[in-house]
Amino acid sequence: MSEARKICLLGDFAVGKSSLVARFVRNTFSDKYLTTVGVKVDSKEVRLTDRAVKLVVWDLAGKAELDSLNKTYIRGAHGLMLVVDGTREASLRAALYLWMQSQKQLAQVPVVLMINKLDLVDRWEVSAADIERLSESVPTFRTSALSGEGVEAAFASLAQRVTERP
Amino acid sequence: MSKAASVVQGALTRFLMERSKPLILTVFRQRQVVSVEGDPALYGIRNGDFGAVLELVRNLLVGGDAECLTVWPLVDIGNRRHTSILWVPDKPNDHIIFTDAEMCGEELTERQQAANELALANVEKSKTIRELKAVRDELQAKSAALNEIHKFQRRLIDTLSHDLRTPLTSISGYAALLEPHLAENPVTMRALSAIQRNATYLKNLAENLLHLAAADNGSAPLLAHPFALEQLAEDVESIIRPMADGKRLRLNVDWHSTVQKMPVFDDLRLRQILLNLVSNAVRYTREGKVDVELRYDGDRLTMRVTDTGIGIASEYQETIFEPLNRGAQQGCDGAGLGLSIVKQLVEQMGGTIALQSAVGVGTRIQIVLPERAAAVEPVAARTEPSLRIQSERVIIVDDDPDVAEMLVWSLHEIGYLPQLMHDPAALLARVAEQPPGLIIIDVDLGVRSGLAVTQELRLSGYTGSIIVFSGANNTNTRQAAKAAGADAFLAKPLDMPKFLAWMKRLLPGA
Repeated sequence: MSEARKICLLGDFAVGKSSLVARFVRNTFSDKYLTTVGVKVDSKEVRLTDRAVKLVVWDLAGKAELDSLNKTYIRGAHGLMLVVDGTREASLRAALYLWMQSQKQLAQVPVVLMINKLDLVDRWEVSAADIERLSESVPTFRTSALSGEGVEAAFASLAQRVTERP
Repeated sequence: MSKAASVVQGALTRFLMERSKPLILTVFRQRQVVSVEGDPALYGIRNGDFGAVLELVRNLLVGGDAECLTVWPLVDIGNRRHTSILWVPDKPNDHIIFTDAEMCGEELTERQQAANELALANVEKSKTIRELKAVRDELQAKSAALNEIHKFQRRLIDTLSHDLRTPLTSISGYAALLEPHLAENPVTMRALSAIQRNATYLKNLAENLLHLAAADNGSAPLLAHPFALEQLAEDVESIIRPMADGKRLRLNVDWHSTVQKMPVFDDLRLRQILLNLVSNAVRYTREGKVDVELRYDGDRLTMRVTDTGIGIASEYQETIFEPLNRGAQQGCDGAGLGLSIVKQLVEQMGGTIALQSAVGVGTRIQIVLPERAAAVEPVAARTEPSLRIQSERVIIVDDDPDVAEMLVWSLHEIGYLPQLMHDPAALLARVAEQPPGLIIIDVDLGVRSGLAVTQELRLSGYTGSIIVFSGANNTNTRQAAKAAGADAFLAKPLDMPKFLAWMKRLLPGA
């Protein structure tokens, strides 16, 4: 049986967290926006080069800051995925703030940043320069839940990093 | 525990059990359900299949401590159903308690969905407003830049056409002066005729350019006057005749009115229309004739110009009235403005244009204009200014030596005693000393305005006649000249034959 790791998706509302999970776990996409209430937990086994790991993915309700409920949910997480909507610059600020808040709840855990909605790149407000700068401090992926571009790579990257830790 | 406390506790337990509808699973090693209390169907569990909920609980325990009591509120268990899950470790079996959180979950979901959708709509609205503002700013900047270019173009056109008028006065005037002296020499007469033809062309071009500039800034209202149809026909013929003669074309100008009253139109605009049509006809006719017919029936004025020229191919007949369109008569000269101005004027006057043309045969353009007094600004009949000149001594004030000398020469030829002066100060002194019968003064004297000098002359008590002339042929300048005390205003380029004929009539003792 593969080892299991808990990862939590954090980000502002409507950045595409649930869509990324649906793409990653079930390889599906719906363009209908349904807000997440509370938490939805899914899992998927990811094969790494030397082993397999079961990622338990906690899809948390989108908020610009960490509320008490989400503080409860992230307890014990092995890794975090910060999700940003590339078309909303404000969602990048929210993700970075959530990251900062989460550090008070968790020990240093691996983090990856997903700049989502790559299919709408012509409407992106998040600049390439900002992404470049962020990628120097956190693994950053340009993703599209619609096309699937970058999604597997982002989860695989986090899976690799969370299994490297004891 | 007291009896009362026991009763309260019992009631509370029953109440909470009823409201939360708990499902209690007792499980062995997180994988096997040992006992069930409650209704599994309320939590989407059918046919005793607990696999999915056990998998969910195992997932929830990842990263946590299975030896500790743990609660996970508002967990989505599929199909957007929510429950709170309580993990109660025990020996040898553990317990999982599901409580119905749907009551608050459903309401919360609806509220949050609505709030998020509203926030998203606001984000989009803000974005759209920002984009629209950016587009508006860009358009405003472009519009301002275009306006500047436009203003510059119009100023350029205005200046150019104005500056054309002064030398044209010289050219036409000297040509008219030379004519009687060269009449016997056919070579020099041909040369003179060419000069007159080209001067006429340039004059027409200057008028057209000025019209464009004026029409563009809205300063070209129609001014209706009663006028003599015969006079219009004569004017056009006298201007175009040298061009037609130079090309050995027959030019017939015919007019007819079925009523006694004079037509009421803006005669300057009619003249401009006719001059454009007839000069075009002459320009594009190599041999044969050009017929001009004017008909007035009391309600409508019909102008018809027929030529035996090169004609206009059918593919160009739609675009011939567009500005700067010279495709129809390639190889011929012309700025391509005339017909577009004709169209503009005819439309402004509420008239119609009909074109018939065949390549190699000729062209006929017919214009019908309704007499619509209400649509125009009626003014008194335009007549020659009434002047009385007391003495044949005339002072001419113009800083353009060519025009000034030409006027001196011409007036001298018909019996006046002209004197040329450049300095306005010297003029005032001269007039005070020996008042002339007439002063002809240019508006633009370089150092001073001729209008200011005119006003000073009047204030100094000069009562003789003053004629002001200018390259700026517009209502403002005319009105300013009158206000300054001028008896007459003449526009450059002067129609020298007409001007001299008039002056001849005014000669004291004529």
